Amino acid sequence: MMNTVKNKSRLTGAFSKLNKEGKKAFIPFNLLGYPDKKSCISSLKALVEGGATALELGLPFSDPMADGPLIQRASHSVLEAGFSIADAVAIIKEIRSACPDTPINLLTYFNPALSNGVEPFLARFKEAGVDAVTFVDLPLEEMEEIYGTLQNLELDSVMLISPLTPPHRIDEILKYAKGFLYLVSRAGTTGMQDSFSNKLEEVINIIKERTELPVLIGFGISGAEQARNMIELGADGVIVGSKILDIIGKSNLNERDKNLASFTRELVNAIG
Amino acid sequence: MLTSTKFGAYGGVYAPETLIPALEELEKAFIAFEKDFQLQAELKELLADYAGRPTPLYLARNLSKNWGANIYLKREDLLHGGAHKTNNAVGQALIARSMGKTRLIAETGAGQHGVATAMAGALFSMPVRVYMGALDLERQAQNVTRMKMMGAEVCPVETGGATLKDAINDALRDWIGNLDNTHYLLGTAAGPHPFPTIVKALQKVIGEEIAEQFTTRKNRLPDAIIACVGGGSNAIGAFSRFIDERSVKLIGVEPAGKGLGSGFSGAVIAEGKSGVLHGMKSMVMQNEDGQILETHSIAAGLDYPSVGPEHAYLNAIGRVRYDCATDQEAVDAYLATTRLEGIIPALESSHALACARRLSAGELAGCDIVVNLSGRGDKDMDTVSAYTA
Repeated sequence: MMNTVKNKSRLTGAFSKLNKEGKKAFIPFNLLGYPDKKSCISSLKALVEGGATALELGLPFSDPMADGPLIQRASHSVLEAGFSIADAVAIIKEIRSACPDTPINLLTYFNPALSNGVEPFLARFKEAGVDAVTFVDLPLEEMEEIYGTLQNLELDSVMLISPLTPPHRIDEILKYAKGFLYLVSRAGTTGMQDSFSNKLEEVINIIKERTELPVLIGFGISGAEQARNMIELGADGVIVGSKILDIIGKSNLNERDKNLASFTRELVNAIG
Repeated sequence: MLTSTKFGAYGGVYAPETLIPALEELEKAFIAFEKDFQLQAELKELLADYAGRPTPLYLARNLSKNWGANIYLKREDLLHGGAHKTNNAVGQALIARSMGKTRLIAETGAGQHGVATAMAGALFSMPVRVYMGALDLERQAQNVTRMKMMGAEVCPVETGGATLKDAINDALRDWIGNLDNTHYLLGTAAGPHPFPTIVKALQKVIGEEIAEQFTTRKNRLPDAIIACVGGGSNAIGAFSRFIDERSVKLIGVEPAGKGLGSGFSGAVIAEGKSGVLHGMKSMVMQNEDGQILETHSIAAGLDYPSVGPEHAYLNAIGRVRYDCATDQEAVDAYLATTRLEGIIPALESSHALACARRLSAGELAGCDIVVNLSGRGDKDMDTVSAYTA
């Protein structure tokens, strides 16, 4: 039997701890199986050692329509190497046993979940150690299809909000949101472009008027200064994805994990 | 959303949150467009005087004699631009203008929708960018030249199988980043709501004309309508008028490529299963992990691993029968139509002709069959020459 956390999810626990310490959250993203299974596991451990609040793990998908070139290329190379859902589950199991307190959010497109039945898919990842799930292409209009299953399995649903999301939609999104809210920094795909919506502060305020859920900003954040700016706008933390893949891709094998840990420390200190 | 997003279990809005306000804006503009007399009059005038509607319904005398049924060709190949895609491009460009958008983007497989969008861009003075798979760029080079001459920028897409599916991914990514000024002029009756509904509304003129033209001649409706199905815009346009006319057999023809079960086909309804791709739930070619598979068809415009959601629905309720034709059958029908009628059909439409030929020798022998000749086939001459060499 799996260990179910009573009442409070790992994510909620991690955020209330940060809150008490007056700290902000840093959540790095990596694609499951990138650049290969073994290196992926060791890089995730390095991110946790560096001080990551939680991990966001992406399931590679053949048609990642919301992703920029870096994550597209990584997804295709992982899939071409024969990576499967079974491999993804195995990686998560290993991280769960190595890092028992680190919350894990699974980020996925909907089709891999739908393909073999949403319930078995989610149950498999829950059992492996996932705490929360974000579906990139499942807006609130389609959430009813899976929400009951998420609740039954005690998985948090991390919902996306964009700077274009109007307040009445935010109200509806909040009905499904648990764990934290993922605010996209701009209308665009993932990647390291240095441009953010000028509506971010306004949207954060609109969200904060309505909920106590932490608001994390992601998309395009690649360094300490940008992360600090997001915190100044009122975010409770940041999510960094493409930059992590970039570090992995550019580092020598023997320095990769060291670089990831030091990048994480730098970010954690910056947003302290 | 203001109107129903689903066709039975299919359709919906499986799109990233960032796109939702744009889809809502588009739905609103479309509802207004349908009620706006001035815009409707402008559309009608453009379809008549610019595009050349109505297109003829031609009783193909030699094919009929050779194949054993009365084969009527709905001549969308004679529409300006050379395919039915113009109906949709002109209509959506009007909607884009009504929303204040100043830039058009599109995906294209065979290049016909790219050409239609390039035409609309020239007509409405809007810059156009067309995403096209690198493989398709090569096999439909003639259409690429046409697009460029009309001022469109053609962006080769190298990811995945470098075909239509990948072009749609890149067009969606462009749109997500440029929602302020850009309309994504989706070419087929697929994608998230409201696209399948909009494209059907703009293509249904095909079926309405078939009904009128056939009735004028024979004082009744035809026995069967046959159309090829990739995403399915020409088929839904031809079928829509007849869905409630139970006496009319409706047959969609998917590309079987090198044969069903060969691993090289694009027969999504025959070989796929329910899934989500490009913002819609429909039938999808996928592996056991839900990863989308590459498809194969000699016709670039049919080389797509999913199908418009309404087709998935019409199949599920049994109203439309989905058959298929192989590359070989399509090429045979292409050559037969070219030689017997002096009409060069698009390889896409040749799949419908191939099915008509087969059924004429069997269950539809002696019947009145309308084949939607969705496009002209000059673009395919090199492909066919290479195939038959």
